[in-house]
Amino acid sequence: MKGAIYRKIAPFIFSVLLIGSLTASEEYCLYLRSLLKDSVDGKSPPLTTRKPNIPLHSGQVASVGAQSRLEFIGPAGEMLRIGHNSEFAPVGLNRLEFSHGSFLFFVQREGPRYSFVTKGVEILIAGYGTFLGEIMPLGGLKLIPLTGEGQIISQSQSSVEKFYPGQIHFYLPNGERPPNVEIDITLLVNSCPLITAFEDTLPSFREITKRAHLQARTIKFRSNSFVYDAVGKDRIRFLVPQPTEKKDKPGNGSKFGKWLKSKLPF
Amino acid sequence: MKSTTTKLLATLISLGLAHGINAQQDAAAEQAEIGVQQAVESSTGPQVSAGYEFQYIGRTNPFYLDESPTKEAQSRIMVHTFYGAVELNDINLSNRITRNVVGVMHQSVQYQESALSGFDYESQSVFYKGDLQPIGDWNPSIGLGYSRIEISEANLEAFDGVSPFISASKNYGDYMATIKTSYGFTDIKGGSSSDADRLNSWTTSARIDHLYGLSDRMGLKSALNLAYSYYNEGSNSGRGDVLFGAGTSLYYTINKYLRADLFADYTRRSSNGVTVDYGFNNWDAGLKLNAAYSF
Repeated sequence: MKGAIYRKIAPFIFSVLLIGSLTASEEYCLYLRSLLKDSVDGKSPPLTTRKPNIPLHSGQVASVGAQSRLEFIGPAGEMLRIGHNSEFAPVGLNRLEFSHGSFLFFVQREGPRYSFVTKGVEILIAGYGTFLGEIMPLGGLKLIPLTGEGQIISQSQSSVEKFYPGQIHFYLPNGERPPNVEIDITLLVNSCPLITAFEDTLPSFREITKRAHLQARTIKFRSNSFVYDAVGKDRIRFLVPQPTEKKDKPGNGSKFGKWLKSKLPF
Repeated sequence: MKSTTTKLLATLISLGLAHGINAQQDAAAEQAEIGVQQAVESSTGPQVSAGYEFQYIGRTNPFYLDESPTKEAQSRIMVHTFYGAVELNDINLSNRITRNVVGVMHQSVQYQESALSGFDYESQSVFYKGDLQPIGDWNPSIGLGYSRIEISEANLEAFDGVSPFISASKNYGDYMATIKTSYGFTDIKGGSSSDADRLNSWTTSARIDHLYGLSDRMGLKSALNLAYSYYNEGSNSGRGDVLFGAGTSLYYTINKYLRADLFADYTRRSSNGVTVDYGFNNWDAGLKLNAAYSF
């Protein structure tokens, strides 16, 4: 079985590894539906292998390398996309354990309820919708519902909270819960490879677009920084863009700028 | 929500300070996998906005005459417009979003030639527009507008009318196409009551708008419009007008609340009016300053 897997994913062998445990349970498994690897040299097209249908059983670990992504389908049609530099394993029924990386999860209204686990954090999504998740660099889980309704039950923090699309929820290993942060859905969707890089459109893409559309009309304030992670109850870290030199302004380095500056009398 | 944002910003720590610039760039690249997360604050209730617009227009044919107007009939015009609108909460349907806007407007038009000041007028409008917005498809709308015109000097109501419409628009990249049909129920005051509704008409139009951004703050907005109006009441019965319009404006966004436009518009109407020739040509060019605030 291991050999067959390696043959099917040979083009991705250096970036995508499925490390299997042959003794794992056969009852519950996810099926690998799509493998994606970005262009290596920036010129050749990205590599895609679709519907290899490799099962990933409970206890098996899927590890994804740089610039590679995977898409799994669950028994009830639920979808899991795994971002680059990620590692996770289904552990038991509808329970996904991440050691690092990022994911997108989609489940229908009538679909099963899934738990997401990382070191010190375990949450259950008691609802349906589309969710982006990331294991934060210093530990903990960042979860962003994009569509759907329901509650997020944090078993490690003994909390139940209704979720709203477009808000980041932070779950820290020490049990602390930083406040939720509303974010721009349009910008998120347009810059998210887990949504845009795959050939197959997300089943909920229309709903996501609608949410983005609804939100765009009501935005009153926009921060000039970007949410990075949370490290404490009152400590959310932001990325602040560095000012960039504008080359088209006179004297800022472009040939045209220098020429223009030389012609100006002041 | 606002206090939460303030609190968040108060606890902001730049990773540039914490880990150095390279670490920040690496972190940003890594984070891009689930998308860029820009913190925003959005309102949950109805959105109320209000504004004021000042226009200074040079108009070649202020009274839309069929022949070239005499010099005395040409004038610069100052227009003051005050407006307010309420956008009600969206209704989220299965595949579409409804958008409902109710607005009011007061406009004062002043001719700058003293001999023409008797033609100064004020108008008030109330409108409703409801959109049924799909995503990436045609966007149908229905609406209803009421407007009235009053001659300023005489405090005399000259006209009022109600106009329901249906329209559909669709975006094609930087272009937006709109088709619209409306019927105007009108009442001209002060004349023969039997002919007061002679401006009642069906109007069907096709319009293309184009937006070309020159920079973050500046751009060109252009539009082409072709409309046909058919009059079916009173002395105008059987009259048909074709109206062609083309215009462009260079806009500059001064800040969140202020915008300036330099614009030029051309309008041409041809008509089969029996008793009077309603055809005309007109050029408008001028400056527009707009101040708007959302509550």
